Amino acid sequence: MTALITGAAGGLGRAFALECAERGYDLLLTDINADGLQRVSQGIKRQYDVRIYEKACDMTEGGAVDGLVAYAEGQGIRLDLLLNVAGIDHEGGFAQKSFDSISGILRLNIEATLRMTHQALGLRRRTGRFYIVFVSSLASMYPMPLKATYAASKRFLLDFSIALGQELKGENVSVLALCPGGMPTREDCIQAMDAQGFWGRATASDLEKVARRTISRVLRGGRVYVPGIVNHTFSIAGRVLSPCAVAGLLYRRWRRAQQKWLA
Amino acid sequence: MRSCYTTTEDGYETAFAVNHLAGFLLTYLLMPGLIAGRGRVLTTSSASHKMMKMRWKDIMFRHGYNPLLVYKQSKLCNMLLAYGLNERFGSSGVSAYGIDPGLVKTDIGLKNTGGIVKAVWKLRQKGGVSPEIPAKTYAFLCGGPEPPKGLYYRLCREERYSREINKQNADKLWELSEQLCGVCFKSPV
Repeated sequence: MTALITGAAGGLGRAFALECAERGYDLLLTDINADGLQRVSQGIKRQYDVRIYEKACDMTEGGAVDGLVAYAEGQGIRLDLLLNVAGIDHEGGFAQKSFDSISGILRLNIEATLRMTHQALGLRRRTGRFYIVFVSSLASMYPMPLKATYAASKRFLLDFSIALGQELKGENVSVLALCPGGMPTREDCIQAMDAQGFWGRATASDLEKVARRTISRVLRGGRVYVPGIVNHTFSIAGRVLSPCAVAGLLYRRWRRAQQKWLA
Repeated sequence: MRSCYTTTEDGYETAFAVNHLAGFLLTYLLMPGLIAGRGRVLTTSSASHKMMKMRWKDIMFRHGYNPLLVYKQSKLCNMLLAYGLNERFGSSGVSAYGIDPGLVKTDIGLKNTGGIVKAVWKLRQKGGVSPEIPAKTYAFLCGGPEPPKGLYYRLCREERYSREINKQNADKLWELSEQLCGVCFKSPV
């Protein structure tokens, strides 16, 4: 099998790349961080006997996704699995941010992700099943004040993923939305989790387990995966409680955590 | 130490990379100078290298991650590095040692850890000695004109070490470390 992973140089992207390599999958890796991409490719080549192709690009730039697809076609790559990991967030209130940073979230998390998916479907192997994972978030389950744009973009991906899975069911395609809570992907994420105290740790997931279980689930035809019992419980509560009540609760929790962490 | 599984930018488990591979790579880069100066390589190991076997099938602990076992394995790697250096470069006048500093009052268990790991280290730290005490062992191993003959030292005295420290394990770790660092000691820098 061959897997295309976006955001492959980041913590979760690397975890997926290592899991795929352990399963013997060949890899096509991309990330905006060319150095990080080169390092993870080299590290995986030194650990596993799989073929690795890498091409750095900024998926939000015009022509970048087309360029990646052209590269893949030139290498004769046919895909079995697409892992849409690349995504971005900027902490803080909507009115306090520049509109560029806000639209950056939409351009990467939604537009570029959908463009990549659209193009990747044209690269799929002629026979056999094709698997797509969208990295959404636990934040997709309810409106999140102080992470409003990010949470809404992840909500978009959750709904889109479920709908696309239904559209492509008859075409031998499985689609899964991964909705994790906090993960120790970068030092600032680890600090953000610590700033939330007990609940930050209770809703955190281990990267290597999330990567392993996500791939196992999409191969089995799973459609939504919320890692962790606490997170799974929260996701159910999010469907039962009023969104406005949940938003009020989350605003109070996030404001305290962000003040502590961003200070 | 880390409470949860994290990897470096290369995709290597962090404690294995920092506690072992980094020292291995640094030694490789400094080897010409070490040979020229008949130098000594001192690696901070630990008594926790004992009661631990190398997890060859999953050295990065991708399955069943346990921060304590990861740490113990990295300290065993420190001893195997010292053993491997003596085997390969002892005849060139290089001497390598592993040191058990004992329980020292440092922040090692507080760096990027949380929960149980942090709480346990805060308690253990109270029984630790100040760093000046184990530093005497480093000074002893570096200082004299003739390098001491042993492999593993604590409080300036040679100590017994684990049976896992043998040629077979040392060679296997050496070969793997060269592969992961992309170096070959036979062709130094």
